Amino acid sequence: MQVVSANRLSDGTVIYLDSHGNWVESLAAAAVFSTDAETQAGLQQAQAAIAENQVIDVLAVPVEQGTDGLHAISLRNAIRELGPTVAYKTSPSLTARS
Amino acid sequence: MYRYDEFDAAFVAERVAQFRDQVARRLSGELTEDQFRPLRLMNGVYLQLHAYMLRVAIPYGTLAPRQLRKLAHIARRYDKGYGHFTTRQNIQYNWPALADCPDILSELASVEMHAIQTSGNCVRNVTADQFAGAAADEIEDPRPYCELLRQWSSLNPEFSYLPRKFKIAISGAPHDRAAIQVHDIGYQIVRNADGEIGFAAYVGGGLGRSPFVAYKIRDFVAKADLINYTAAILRVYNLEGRRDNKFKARIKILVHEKGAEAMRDAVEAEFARSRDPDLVLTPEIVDRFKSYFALPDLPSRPVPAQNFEARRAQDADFAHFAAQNVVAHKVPGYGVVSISLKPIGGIPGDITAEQMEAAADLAATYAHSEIRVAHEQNLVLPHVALDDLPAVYDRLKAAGLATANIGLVTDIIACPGLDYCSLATARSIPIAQRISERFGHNGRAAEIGELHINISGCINACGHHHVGHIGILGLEKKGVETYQITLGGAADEHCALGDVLGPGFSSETVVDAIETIVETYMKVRKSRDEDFISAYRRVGAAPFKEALYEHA
Repeated sequence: MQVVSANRLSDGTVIYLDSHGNWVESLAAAAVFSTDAETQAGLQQAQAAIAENQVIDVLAVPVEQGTDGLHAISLRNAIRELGPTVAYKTSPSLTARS
Repeated sequence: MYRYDEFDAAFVAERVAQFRDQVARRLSGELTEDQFRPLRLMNGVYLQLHAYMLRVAIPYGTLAPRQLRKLAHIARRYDKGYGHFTTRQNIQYNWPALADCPDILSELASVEMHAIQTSGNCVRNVTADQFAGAAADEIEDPRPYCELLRQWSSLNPEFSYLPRKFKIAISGAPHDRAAIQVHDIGYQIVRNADGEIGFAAYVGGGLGRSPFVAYKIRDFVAKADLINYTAAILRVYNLEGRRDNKFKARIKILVHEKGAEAMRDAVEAEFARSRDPDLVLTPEIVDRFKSYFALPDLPSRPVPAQNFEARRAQDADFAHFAAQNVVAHKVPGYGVVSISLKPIGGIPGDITAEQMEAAADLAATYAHSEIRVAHEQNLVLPHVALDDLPAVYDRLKAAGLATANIGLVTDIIACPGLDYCSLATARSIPIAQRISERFGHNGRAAEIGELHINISGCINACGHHHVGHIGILGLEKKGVETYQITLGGAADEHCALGDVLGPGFSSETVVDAIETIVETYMKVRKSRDEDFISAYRRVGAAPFKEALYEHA
């Protein structure tokens, strides 16, 4: 199983292609492709989003169904999905991207 | 410190306007990503795993309080309230939006900062000893020469498209705190037999997938010739460096393949051929640049410093801080104070906006408005009166910045690793945090003594693992993180690359392996005065291998 992911052009946020052709921030809401042909079709769809300057760095992400839902299999893609595994210290004040 | 003149201000403002236009054209679709990528990289904007990353240049690691406050403001306004100091004395923001980057660069320009040449195949930020201008052992402050090289190399059309990136470091003291021998060019300020001050020139050092210690190709480059000699090295590299293979394109490969003697001959021939009278550094030019970095007017302070001595006698924590984080200043009664960004269990090099402001306030109040960034990912207050140290310590403590561990096993250099970096193959920060927790309590790190651990999350070696006394390289094998350990590296004047100890360790076992190495050192050392690297050089790898692999 795979999903199609990218980074949003304007802010770099990791996003996923959903079954309606929209780009969403939650992997759980992504369209799941079961075959290589489906994945290729998803990647083709993403090419259109590249052409429309919505996304960059498109890739197919292997996923698996866990007890708590859909997740990326590799550590790299899990970190892309869930963020750094370390508790970085942010400013206690309001920040732009918190 | 150096202040922008009208030319500098106009140059940086023009660059910001140019990048603002480029970002607008990218967002509107006028530029494709392939067209835009090199433009954003030239302005320090990378795409990492989760977001863009902006790398801001801190020339030779020197900051004024107003600049550090601006970095705090940027962290809070445009990012997530923190920044990360790097091994190139720069700062990285991990979460900026591309659309905000022109505004960030504009904010930086307002305090004479920029992100130019923090990426790309050009001359990167010229680094220096973090104690420059203050250290008691210094021959001369290297920063005027760093600034001359910076001005000459910034957007220099001849050297803007080198085969690969190019890193220069200058050390002003015999004790090398700038790791010059693992740079493309390393300059060591020296005094020749006639008492003149100039530079010993090292070429072809570097880390990454093919690490090399640099070769000394000249014992003495006169100050007047610094730019011309650097240009000669760059010209030889620009012409002969390999552009056919990115992994063999650094000057270290050229020097290795060509041979150090042949490289020296080529550089000398080029230097003789192309020495440009307009680039000769006259005494007037040198003096002008030296004046930008003149030692502040430091009022005479009593020696011994009574406040300092009294607090040291009654407060063991303060005494430990003074012993570990303060070194001798060239002016009696003053000290050079390192601010560790390695709290026990923390993320090496990370600092919150509030901590940046606290450090800026301290520098303004107690350190003649100077702050330095160390390539070890710490900060430095270079000119602190020892009698003020109790007050500085108390305020550092209140800000969570008083960790007394400079040079100890918990003062770990670590790259961002797979938690942030798109090139990384394994995480480095969590390993650093666990090692720090393992050794960071009950005085254990101090008992162990000086021991440098460097961690990289891939073979690109941003964590300088090759030159750690203990180096840790994170790799991915069959989808699993694995960590290779090297021993015996050193980044100072006794520069050496570490030896690979044996098979790697899993994430679960690598911290135990480090503990075994440390325990072995504690057993073999002659006394507490024999530090880890000295003991390793005496006994070699055998006892460590035996403890790790044969008794396991």
